[in-house]
Amino acid sequence: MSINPERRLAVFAFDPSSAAAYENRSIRHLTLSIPWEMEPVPAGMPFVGPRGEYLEIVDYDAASGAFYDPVDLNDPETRPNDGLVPAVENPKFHQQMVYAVAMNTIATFEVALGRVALWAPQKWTLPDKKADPDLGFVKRLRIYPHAIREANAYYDPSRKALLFGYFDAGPENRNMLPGTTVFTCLSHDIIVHETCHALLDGMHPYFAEPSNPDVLALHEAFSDIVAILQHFSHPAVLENQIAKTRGDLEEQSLLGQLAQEFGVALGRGGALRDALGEMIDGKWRPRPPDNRALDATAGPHERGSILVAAVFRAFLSIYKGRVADLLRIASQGSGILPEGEIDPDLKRRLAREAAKSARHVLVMCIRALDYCPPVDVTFGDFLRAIVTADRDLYPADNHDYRAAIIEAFTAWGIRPEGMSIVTERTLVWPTPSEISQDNGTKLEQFVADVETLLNEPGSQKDIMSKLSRSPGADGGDMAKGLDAIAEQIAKALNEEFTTRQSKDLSKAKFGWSKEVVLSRNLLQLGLAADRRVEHLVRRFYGLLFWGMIQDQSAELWELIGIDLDDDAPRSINRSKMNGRPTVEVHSVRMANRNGDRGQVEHEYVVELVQSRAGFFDPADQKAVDEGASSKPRDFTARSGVTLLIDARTYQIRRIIGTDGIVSDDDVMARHRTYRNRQRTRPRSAFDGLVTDPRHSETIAALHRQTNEGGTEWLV
Amino acid sequence: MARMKAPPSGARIRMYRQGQGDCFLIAFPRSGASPDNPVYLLIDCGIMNGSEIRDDVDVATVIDNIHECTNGFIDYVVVTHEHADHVNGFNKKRGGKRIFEKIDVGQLWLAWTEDGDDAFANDLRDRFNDQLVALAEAEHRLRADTASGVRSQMVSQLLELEIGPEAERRTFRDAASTGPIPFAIDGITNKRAIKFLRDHAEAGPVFLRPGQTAFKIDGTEGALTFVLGPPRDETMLLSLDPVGDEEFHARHTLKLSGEAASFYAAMTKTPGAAGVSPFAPRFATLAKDVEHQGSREVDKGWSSDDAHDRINAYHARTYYGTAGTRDETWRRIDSQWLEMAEPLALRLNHEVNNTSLVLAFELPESGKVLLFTGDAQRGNWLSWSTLSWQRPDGGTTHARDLLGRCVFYKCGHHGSHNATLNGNVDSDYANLAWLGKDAPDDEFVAMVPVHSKWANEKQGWNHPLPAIVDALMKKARGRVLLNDVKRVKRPKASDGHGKLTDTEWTAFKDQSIEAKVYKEYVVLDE
Repeated sequence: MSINPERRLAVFAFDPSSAAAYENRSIRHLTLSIPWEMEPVPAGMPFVGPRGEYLEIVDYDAASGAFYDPVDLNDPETRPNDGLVPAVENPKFHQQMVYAVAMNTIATFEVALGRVALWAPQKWTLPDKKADPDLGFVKRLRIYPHAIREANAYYDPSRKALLFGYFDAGPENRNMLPGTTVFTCLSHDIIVHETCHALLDGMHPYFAEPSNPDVLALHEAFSDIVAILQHFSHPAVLENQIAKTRGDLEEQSLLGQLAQEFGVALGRGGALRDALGEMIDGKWRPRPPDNRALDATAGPHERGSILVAAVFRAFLSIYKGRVADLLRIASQGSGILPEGEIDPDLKRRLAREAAKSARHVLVMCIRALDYCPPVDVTFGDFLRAIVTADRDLYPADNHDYRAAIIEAFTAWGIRPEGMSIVTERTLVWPTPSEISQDNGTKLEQFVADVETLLNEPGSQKDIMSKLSRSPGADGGDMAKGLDAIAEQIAKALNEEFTTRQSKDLSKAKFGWSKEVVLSRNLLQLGLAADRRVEHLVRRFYGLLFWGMIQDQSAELWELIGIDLDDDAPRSINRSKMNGRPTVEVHSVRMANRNGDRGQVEHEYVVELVQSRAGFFDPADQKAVDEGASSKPRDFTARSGVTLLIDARTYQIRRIIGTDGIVSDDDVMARHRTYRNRQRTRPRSAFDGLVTDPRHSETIAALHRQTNEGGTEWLV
Repeated sequence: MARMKAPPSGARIRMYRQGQGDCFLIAFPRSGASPDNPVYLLIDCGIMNGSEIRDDVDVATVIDNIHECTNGFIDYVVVTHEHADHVNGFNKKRGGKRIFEKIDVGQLWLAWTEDGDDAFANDLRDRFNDQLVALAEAEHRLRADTASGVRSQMVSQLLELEIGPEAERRTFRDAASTGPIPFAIDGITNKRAIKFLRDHAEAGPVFLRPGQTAFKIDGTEGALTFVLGPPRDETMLLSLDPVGDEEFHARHTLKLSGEAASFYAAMTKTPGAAGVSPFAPRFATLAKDVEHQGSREVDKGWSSDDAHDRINAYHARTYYGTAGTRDETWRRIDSQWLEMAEPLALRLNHEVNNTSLVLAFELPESGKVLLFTGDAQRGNWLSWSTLSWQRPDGGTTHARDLLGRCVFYKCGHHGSHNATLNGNVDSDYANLAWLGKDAPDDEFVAMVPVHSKWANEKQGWNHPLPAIVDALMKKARGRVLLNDVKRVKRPKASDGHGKLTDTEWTAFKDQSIEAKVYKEYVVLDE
C-alpha cells in the first residue's frame, strides 16, 4: 500500500466532437486515476514527456517537420488541477490524454491478471554485436500522438509503438464541420483499442499471425470490447445517460449508440454499428442476434464485430439481472417506473450496477487470455477460455454470469468447432485426467519434475549441461546460458532495489546473487515485480521448461498434445541438438487471482508451440516431409498447448490445445487451404496478396483496407 | 506483308502482342469497296515498359505492322483513357522520329473527360492533376529516404502508369512546381501522345458521352457504335468519401476532402513551413533544430533547469536516440506517414481506369455486339444498366438487350479483379452473365491483353485474376485468346470449361489466327 496519492488526469470522456455537443455537457470530461506505484515519480521531480515506467510519448510530427513540446505532468501549476484542462488546440494536452488513457488500460489489465504487463520483446542490436543481457526486454511502448496524416491509428509491432493520425474532417463526418482537424489521439476509444493491440501482442505474439479467419478478428474484437466496456465502467458517464433513458439500457439509445459511434469518423465503425443495432424511425434498436452470421462473414473487422455484439449482449443480460430488483422496488413491483424524471438515488444505483457489470465482463474477457491456446486461436476457444477461467475461480456461478456469456455467444453462433452439445460442462477446457484416465504414472513424474524445476531452478542445470553435450549440439552451452540469465536477474533485482531506496540506503549492498536466484521461485512476485525482472524470469523459466521437456519421454507429451516423436514429418521444426522435433516454450508466467472466498489463486501458465514448414503445393509438402527436398517454406503452420499448472500442487489443471497437432497432415491441410484462399483473394486491382504475415504492419494494413462492395470476385 | 482484310461480313479483330498493354485493330467491310480496303478502327496503343512477351516483338514492331497492314491509313483512332499502357505507343520514337507519324488518321475519338469545353471534365482533370502532383512529390520523398524501409515500389509502379518512367516523373514534378499543368507537358509521354493524336488526326477529336444516340461508323455498311462509359455520375466515377445514408445528397464538389486533402496539403508544402502543422508555432520546435545536437549538449540539456534545453534534449534523446544507452533509431517514423501515398495512388489509378471510354459495336445484319471496355472498373460497369440509346432509325436500345447480344468481349484491365464484374443474369447491374445471354448461337469469345508472367513475377500484380480467366473460359467454353499464351487449346472434359462440338471448334479455328505479332478473330455478321 502506498502512502503517495494517485495521479489524477483529465481527459475527454469520448472525443472532442461529442464533448462539444451541448446535450453532453455534463459528461464532457473524465478524470482518470493512475496508481502511484505504476509511475513512482516523486512530486518534486519533473515528469516530462511523459516518459515513465511503461510508456514514452514522443510527439514528432514528420509531415509538419516539427516536435511538439512535451508536457510535464509534475508541473506544480497544473498538477493540483488534475493536469491540463482538456483542450484540442494544445498538443501537450494530447500527450496527457494518450498517456492517461493508455496507462488506465494497462492498469485494468494488470489488476485483472494479477501481474505486471510486458510489451512484446525486440531483437536489439547492441554495440559490438554483444548478446542482449536483457533478452529483448522492451521497457516502454512508444506513443506518437501525431505520427501520420490519415484517418487511421495503429499499433506497429516492428517499432513497438502506437501511431496516431490526424486528418481533416470530410463531408461524411456528421459530427464535425468539414475542414476541421480530427485527432485520433483524442478519442478515448481509439487509444484504448490501440493500447489493447499492444498489450495483447505482448501476451500472445502469435495472435497477429492469421492462420484462420478468427485470429486477427479476435485481436480487433478484443480491443473493441475493452474500449467499450472501459467506458461503461465509469459511473459518472453512465448516470447522465441512465437518467435520460430511465434505466432501460437496451431500449435506450446511448449505450448501444456510443458503441456504434466508435470509429465512425475513421470509417471503421460501420461493421460494428451494423452488428450492434440500427436506427429505426429515429430510435435505436439492438440487432437481434443471428446464429448464422459468422458463416457469411469473412473480414477481420466484420467477424470481430460479431464477437463484440455477443459480449455486449452478455453485458446487457447481466445488467438486467442485476437491476431487476431495484426496478421492482422503485416501481412498487410493477416493473414500470412512474412518469417523470428518474429518482436520483435510483439513477446512481443503476449506474453503479451498470458499471459493475461492465467491469465484471471486462475482467472475465481479460482473464480469458491466459486460458487461450498460444496459436491459431478461434472465437470458440475464447468462449471456452472465458467459461473456464471464471469457473475455476468461482465454481458456483451465483450471478449467472457464465450462463449469460454462453447464451449470448451461442445466440451469435459462436461455439467451438465441431462441438455438438454446448453447455458449461462441455465448454470447460479438459483436465489431464479427462484426456486419459490411464496415464497416472507418467503425470506423477511430470508433477515431481515441475515442482523441482520451479522451486530449485539450480537443479535443472545438470539436465541443461547434459543437453549441451548431446551429439550434434550446436555449440551453445545451455547451462552457461541459464547461469547468465540468473546473473542478470540478480543484477536487475539489485538495481531495482537500489533505485527504490533513498540515497543513503542505496549505498548499502543488497543480497541478490546468482545462487539466490537459482534457489528461489521468482514467479510469485506478481504486481510487485519490476518489469525487467519479470521479463527475465519468464524467459528463465521458459528455458528450464524447455530443458525438462527434452529430458522426458515422447509419450507423455503426446498425451498433452505435443509431438516429439522422431518419426514426425521432416518439415516439423527440429532441434539443432538432437534432431528431434522441437517445441518452443515462449515463456512461463503466473496468473494471480482472488477467488470468491477472497483466497488468492496462483497458477503457472506455460505455453508450448510447435511449428512446421508449410507449402502451398501439397506435392512440395510431401517432398519436404520425406526429406526429398529442401525447398524454402511458403508459410509456417503452428499448433500448441497452454498448460495451467496449480502453484500449490504442481498438478496440470487444464490442457488448452489447438484443434489438432501440426504434425498431423489433416491439420496441415486445413492450414494450407486457408492460406491458399487468402493468397488468391485480391485486395485491389493489382495485388493478389492480402496481409502478408511477414510484413510487420499487419495491423496497419488491416485498418487501411478499403471495402469496395460485394460485386467483386471472391475466390 | 499483306493487308489486313475485311471479313466477308462482320468484323476482324486483331489484338497485338506487344506485352502488358492494349492495342486492338478492327477491320470492318467498307461499303461498296473490296475486302482489301476495309474501314480500320484502332483502339489504344501502349505497353508497360519492359513487359514484352517476346524478344522480337515490341511496340515499334506493332506500329510497323499497323502501318503495313492498313496501308498507312486508319479511319478511326480511339483512346480509352490516359494510362501509359494504352497510349505510350503513339509517342514511341525511332531515331528521334515518332513512328506513328507515318500512319495517317481520319478521326480521333476520345471520352468526354478529355473535352476542354466540359466544365465537369475540367474539374475532374484538375482533381487528378492535384493528386498526381502530390503523389509525385510523395514518391520523391519516399525514395529519398532509403533508411526507414518504407515501401515505395507500388507507388512508383502506379505513377509509371499515370505519368511515365522515372525521368518523366521528374519532369512532371518540375513542371508542377512552376505552375498549373499544361495540356501537354514536354517530355511527358501520356500527355504528349494524346496531344500528338489530336494534332495528327484529319478530323476531330470527337468526344463521346454515354447514352448519346448510337451512330453509324461512317464508311461501314451500317455497324453502329454505342457509348457506355465513362459515366458522368461522380459517385460511379470516383472513389469519393462515403456519404452517410441520412445525409442529403448535395452535389459533391470534386475537390478532394477528408484525409486525402490533409495528406496532399502536407505534401505540397515544405516540412516546417508555416501552416503545415495544425498547432500554433509556440508549441512546436522544428525538427531541424533538434536533429543535429551533439551528445554532450543533449546530456547537459537532459538535466538542465532551462525548460527549452530540456525539451530539446528530450526530443533528441527519445527520437534521434542521441546519447541513449541503447540504439532506438529503429523506432523512428520519418517516412511512415508517406505510406499513405500507396492507397491514394491506388485510388487514383482506379479512378482513372474508371474514366475509360467503353464502346460496343453492333453489326448491321445479325445485331451481334462487340464490347471494348478499356480498363473500366466497378463504378463504370455499375453505370451501364440504366442506359438506353436512341438508334439512328428511331428505335431505342436498352443496355440489357445490347449486352445480351454481345459475342465478343475485350477483357478489361488485363483481367484484373474488379474490372470484370461477377454476378448473374438477374442481377440489377451489368456483369459477365449479362453478356451474350440472348445471342442465338453460343459463340462467345474473349480476348485478354495481358502478360501474366511479367505482371505476377516482376510487378507482383495478380493479372489476370485466375478466377476471372476461369469464368471466361467457362463462358466461352475455352475460346479465350490470352495474349501471352501461344495457342488456344481445345477444352477437355477434365478442365470443366464445357464442351465444344467439332463444328464449333473448327469454326473457331477458321475464324482465328494466332501469329507472332498478333492474335486475330473474326466475328461473322450472319
